[in-house]
Amino acid sequence: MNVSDHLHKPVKTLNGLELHYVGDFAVIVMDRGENRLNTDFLDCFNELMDDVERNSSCKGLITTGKGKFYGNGLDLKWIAGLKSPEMFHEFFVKISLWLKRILVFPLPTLAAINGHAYAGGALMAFAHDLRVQNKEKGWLCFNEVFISRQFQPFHYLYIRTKIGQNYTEAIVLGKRYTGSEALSNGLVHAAPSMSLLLSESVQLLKSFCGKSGYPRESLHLMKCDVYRDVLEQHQRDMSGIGREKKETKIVANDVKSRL
Amino acid sequence: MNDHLHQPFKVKDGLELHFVNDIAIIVMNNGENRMNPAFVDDFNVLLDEVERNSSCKGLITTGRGKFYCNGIDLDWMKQNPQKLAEFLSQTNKFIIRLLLFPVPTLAAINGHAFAGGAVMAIAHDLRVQSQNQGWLCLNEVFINLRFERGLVSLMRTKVGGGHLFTDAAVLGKRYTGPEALKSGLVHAAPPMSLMLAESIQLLKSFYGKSGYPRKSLQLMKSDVFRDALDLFKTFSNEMANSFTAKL
Repeated sequence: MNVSDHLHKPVKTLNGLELHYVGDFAVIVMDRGENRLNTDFLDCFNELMDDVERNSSCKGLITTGKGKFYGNGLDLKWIAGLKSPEMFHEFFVKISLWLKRILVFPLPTLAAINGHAYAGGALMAFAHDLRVQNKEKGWLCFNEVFISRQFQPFHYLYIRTKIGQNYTEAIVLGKRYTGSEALSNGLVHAAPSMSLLLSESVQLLKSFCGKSGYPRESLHLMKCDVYRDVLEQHQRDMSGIGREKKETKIVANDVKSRL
Repeated sequence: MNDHLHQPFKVKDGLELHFVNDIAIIVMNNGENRMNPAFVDDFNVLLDEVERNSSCKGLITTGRGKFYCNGIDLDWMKQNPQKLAEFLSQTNKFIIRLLLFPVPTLAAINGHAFAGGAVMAIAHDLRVQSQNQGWLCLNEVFINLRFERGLVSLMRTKVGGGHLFTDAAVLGKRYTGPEALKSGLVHAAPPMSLMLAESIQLLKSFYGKSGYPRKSLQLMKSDVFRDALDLFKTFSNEMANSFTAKL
């Protein structure tokens, strides 16, 4: 049973990423197996987000996956195959910009977590304004601590704002949460059964938008104001990535050695 | 609710100051109780009286009728655009004064508390909201207004993190009394007839027999809200510009 069984034909498909509209809401369905993050994924995703932004009648964005995974994080195999530290950089800059784009998107955003959301997949889910996780399948988990990975400084800041009280448990201890656990710990807004994931997500997003939705510029600026510390750190992180070419070579080799 | 109160100690235009034993109660009785220079000046005069009364151990603020406070007086702003910056500065000082008040403060939210009115309620130590009337809502995002850094920091400290903060501040969610209680924005959501009694009870339950040493409480608030206070000192144009755009 898939969320996307309720959706009709997509208006656009790019390498396993589908763009649908349900009423005034855009729904991006990720249908690429583990939905791991690499350059092709990000380029296609960004293009669909461009389409959504260009659609002036669109009032919200839902992202979801098909099958067992929402998102399982970075495509480590692909990263290990990158031919130069410059390509490695470019990818990390691209991911950071993409997460920031979701964070301050000029429409309300909802991650409908249909399955596993690990590491980078969890980072992606938390860049959204709202989260709904199905209660039957999959875990939400920042498992970086278990695989000897660290976050970028700006990640900590937005995760901390979004998670609130259970920050230590979720990030330091890498706790994994079923939908019901995520709900009772305040990590997600709702934990419906899989068959109701899409409709409850649409309902929840509607309940925030009201009749006319948010003025786009106002919502974007409000997010920039509320997440000011995140954006300032993001700037610093970006110039850091530019400077530390030596370090990324070490990290790239480090990743290779772990596969 | 104010049927339980006797004659006010002092009245300044639509604002009444009452004392119920050790507790000061400021009742806003001016329609939507919108904030403009006269409102803030009058309120400050009453706050001066409360501070001068050394036996006073707590402060409750509330409204009469449909509104606690519906935010900044945009009509006044439209008529006085040249006074905008000065007024916003005055309002910030007022919010900070409430935030750091030397006795514990409780906002008894009798009705709508929108935008600046919600900020005012959040600046109090405690909140009680009527079970069956009015919404608490930071609706700035819907009306193209922005928060300055000090306010964002203040709200983050008071409202906490997690999705409550982003729901309330970024997405401008509106809360009935029971919803505010469930989410932790307010301490209690009694029916209107019990608002005053429960507010007094709640305040008393915090300050005990002798109340807080005033200086100590004020310093503690300054320490806990240091981040917000530091940020209030940095002037940023964004909030003022967002108001100007509406004129």
